[in-house]
Formats: sequence, structure tokens, C-alpha cells
Amino acid sequence: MMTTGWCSRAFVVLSLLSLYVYGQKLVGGFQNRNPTDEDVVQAAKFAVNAFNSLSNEEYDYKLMKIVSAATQVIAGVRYDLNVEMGKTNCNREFTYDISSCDIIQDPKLARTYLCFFSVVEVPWENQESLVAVNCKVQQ
Amino acid sequence: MDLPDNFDAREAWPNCPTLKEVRDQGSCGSCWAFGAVEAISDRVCVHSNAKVNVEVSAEDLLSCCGMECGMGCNGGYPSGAWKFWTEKGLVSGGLYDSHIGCRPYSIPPCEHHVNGSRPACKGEEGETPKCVKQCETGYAPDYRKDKHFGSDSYSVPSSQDEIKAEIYKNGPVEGAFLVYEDFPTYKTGVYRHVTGEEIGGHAIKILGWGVEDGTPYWLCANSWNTDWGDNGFFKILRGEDHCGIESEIVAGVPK
Repeated sequence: MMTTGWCSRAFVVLSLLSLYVYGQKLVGGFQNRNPTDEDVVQAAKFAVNAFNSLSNEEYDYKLMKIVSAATQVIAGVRYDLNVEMGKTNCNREFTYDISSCDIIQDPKLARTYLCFFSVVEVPWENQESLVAVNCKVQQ
Repeated sequence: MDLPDNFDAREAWPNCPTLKEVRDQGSCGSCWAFGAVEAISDRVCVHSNAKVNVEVSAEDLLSCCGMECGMGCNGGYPSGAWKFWTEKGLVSGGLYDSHIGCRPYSIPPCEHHVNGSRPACKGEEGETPKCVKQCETGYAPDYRKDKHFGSDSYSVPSSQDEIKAEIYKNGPVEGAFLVYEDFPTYKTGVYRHVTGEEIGGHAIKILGWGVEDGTPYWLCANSWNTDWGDNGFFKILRGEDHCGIESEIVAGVPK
């Protein structure tokens, strides 16, 4: 009898405790974002651009689709992005404006990457950096 | 209680130096730990009539609190942070590379004024540091002996007067609010969200209040270093739970 009483009381206390803690809003965590939000698109374009300048590929890649996005408040803003990007007909050495490049459609030559990018923006320093990259060939 | 129209904890307790300090959380979602240890450091000083001056360690809280506080660098709960202080205590620890206290912060500030493709921040994966129950080499007191404890922690009701009374009597509190795109570019004045999308939740320290050009504000310290905002501090609209600033206030008293 006593054991049961203690147990149920402990259970109630524990439930209240977890409510107390988990009822609070998590701060400093990731928040899912709409892939069409302007700042998300901007961060994705920056990431693809940075990927192009860092990679050893002969041809530039172009953003096709933002699959998912999340942001986090750090000392700045972190964007975690999953994007699809496609190989274009623009040779890296001669690309001035990626928007004028077309994604290769010929299945023999086409290549699509599925990439995870992490971009950190420190707006008050006018600074933006690609801090993590993980890509795999999709096809 | 008769509360003044303007109050700045830095002026009310001039012999408590941590009140003037601005820290840097780096590339980690540890705002919840910073808001707590900043206010706790101030309160230890205020409570002791400026006899005890200690920078309470963000590292100890961030790395050792565990589930009760949430997910470390991936976000946490301010209420859990203050509770941990009453249960397990917190050691001393200053800024990154300061070699001050038992466990200084181990995540460096984001490198500033670097252009191009080089990473802005080290620790870019945002990994939570390990809970090391030991002081840095060269710091004399034992880890367990360096713990400072709180006797009580609590939520403060979301009324202006309750929040003011709490700060006025016991020192700064921890608050949380929603960050929108227009917040990171704040410089001076009273912040009021106007444009941009919601980026995520953020915790800070509230150390006073006042009225500027007819606009009531809360005076806050951010943990984004001194080159952000108004030397690391900011003012935010007071009295209408703007961005939720009045609804998540937590505090506690030192033992």
C-alpha cells in the first residue's frame, strides 16, 4: 500500500518535473525553415558558389532544389541545408555568372549531387562562410 | 515596492565587475548556458555585497548538465540551467583562452574580419564540449571545492513589475525571446522586430530597464562579443511581451 502510494506520487512528481523542464521552450536549437524563404535561398546560393570555388570539378554546379533547411542562433546564424545541385555546361575557368549556365540534360553527361551544407553568417561583420560540406552523387 | 523609471544594474552595483562583461558563445547554441552563468555571476557578487567575485563557468554548465538542460550546443532550457546550479553547483571559468578560473570556455570566438571561403568559426560542427570534472592545469582549488551553489531557482511571472522587482532586489535575470532576421544587425536604440523571418529562440541576460525617447525598454546583455550591437548590449521593447521577451524569465538566489 505504502509502496504503491510512494510510486504513484513519485510518478506524478516525475511527470510534473519533465513538464516543467520540457514545457520550457528550447533556445539555441535548430528551427525548420521554409525552403523558399529569401534568406534560406541566399544561403544556399552562397553555399553552392563556395562549393564551386573550393572543388576540383571542371564544370560549375548550379542549385536545383532546396530539399530542407533549418536555422540556429549561435554568435551569428547557422543555416543547415540539404540541397540538390546539377552539373552545368560552364567551365569553371570561364564562368562569370552562374545564372547564365544551363544544367546538363544529356543523361550520359549529367550529374546531380545531393549535398548537406552548413553556412555560418555573422551579419554584423558582413561575413558568411561555408563550414561543413557533405555531398554524394544522386544518380 | 517603489520601482524607479530607469534602472541599470551596472550603476546600482558598481563593485560587481561581471555586470559590465560581455561574453562570446562562439559557433555553439549555448545561449541558454550563457544567459544563466552571466546572471548567476552577477548575483553571487550582489548577494555577497561585492565580497565574492567570480566568473561562473559556461563550460561547466554546457558540458555537465546533460538532459535536464537539453542538448548542449544544439540548444537548451534556461530553467534546467538554474536548477543544475542549485543541485550540482557550478565552478568558475572565464572567457576562451583566458586561463581564468577552473574551467574557461573551450569554444573560440568566431574569427572576425576574415573574407572568402575560410571558416568563420572553429568547432564548426557545433559539438558540445566534454564534461571534465577537473580544473584546468595551473588552477589551484579542487574541482569539487570550486563549486558555487544556488539555494533556489524559479520562474518569474511575465509581468513587468514582477520582473523589475526581481532585478532590483536580486540582480540580473535570464530571459529568452525569438530572434528574427532584423535582430543580428541591431546597433543602437530600442530593438523592435519589423522585418524578416524567424530564425530561432535565443537566451540573454536582462540587467535593467528604462524609457528612451518615449519607448520603454529592457536593457540586455547578449553573448555575441563586444563588437555586436551597442558594445555587446542591447535594448528591446518592454511591456508588450515583444518576441516573447517577458514570458520566459528565470532566476535564482545563491547559497
